[in-house]
Amino acid sequence: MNDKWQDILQKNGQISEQKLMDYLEGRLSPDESHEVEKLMVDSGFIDDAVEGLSEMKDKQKIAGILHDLNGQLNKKISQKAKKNKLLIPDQLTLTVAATITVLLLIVIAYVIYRMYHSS
Amino acid sequence: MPAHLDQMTDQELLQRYYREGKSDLLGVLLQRYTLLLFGVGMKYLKNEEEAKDAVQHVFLKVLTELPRYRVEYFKSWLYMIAKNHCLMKLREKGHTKVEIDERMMLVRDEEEGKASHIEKEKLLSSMAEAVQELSEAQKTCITLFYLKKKSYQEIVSATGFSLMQVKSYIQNGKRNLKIILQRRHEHER
Repeated sequence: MNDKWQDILQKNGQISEQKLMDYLEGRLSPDESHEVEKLMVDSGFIDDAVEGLSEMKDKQKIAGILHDLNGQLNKKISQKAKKNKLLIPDQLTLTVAATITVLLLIVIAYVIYRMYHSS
Repeated sequence: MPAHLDQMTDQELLQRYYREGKSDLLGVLLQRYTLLLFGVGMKYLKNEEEAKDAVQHVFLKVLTELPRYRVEYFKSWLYMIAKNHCLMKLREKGHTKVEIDERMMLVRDEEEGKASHIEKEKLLSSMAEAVQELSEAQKTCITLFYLKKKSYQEIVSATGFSLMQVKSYIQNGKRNLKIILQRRHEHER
């Protein structure tokens, strides 16, 4: 009997891009629309986004805009990865650098030792 | 994108990013929200170019700031960044009215709801009574939405309210229900 209010307690989660676009373009049945709207009630993020996207007259443009934005994001990420690669040496580079430093210190110590002992 | 990354939850991706520090994991995570971010930009800035700029700004901010902080709820954090950026842009343009909105709405996505701590059964048993305490309009919309499973449009047709009114009656009605149930629960203890 109480189960009829179950829906209001449900924690609703994610929505796929496809579902959201279908909702915006009115391609969903009333039941499916209701499911999307339940997500909107629980998430200001989804609710704001639907409101903003609904205001776009030409919904066909959205796919192209997403494609561009994601492309720019990937570009930023690969630039960042390249930069990190330059800044953070890998394990092998670190080992070689440490070995060279140790060898150099040994040579310096030996030279100083020889200098003191020859005088 | 590797298929297994696609299957991971936001939380799993975020944990893995903190462990491995690979930015491409952030890319996967952010791309899940590009459409929503653009939508939020459109809602507040009402201009395609500005909304696109806002998304770019949010991407950049996430890429720079996420490595520095331990973020628990990625989606809420992202929404907060996007919204704050848009509100800041509006303020720069001289729309001072938005400050009130920001205070009022900032936490909605993060609202975990104290009610979730109360046992579900108890909540369900007092829900029907609690609904009676709502205003007539909220009661009607909440009942049609959650009980009769009607969509917004169907509720608009059935009640004669506008779409905005229906949305607000459902959102505020749900929030009020939580408060009523919480109050009852504390009263019983």
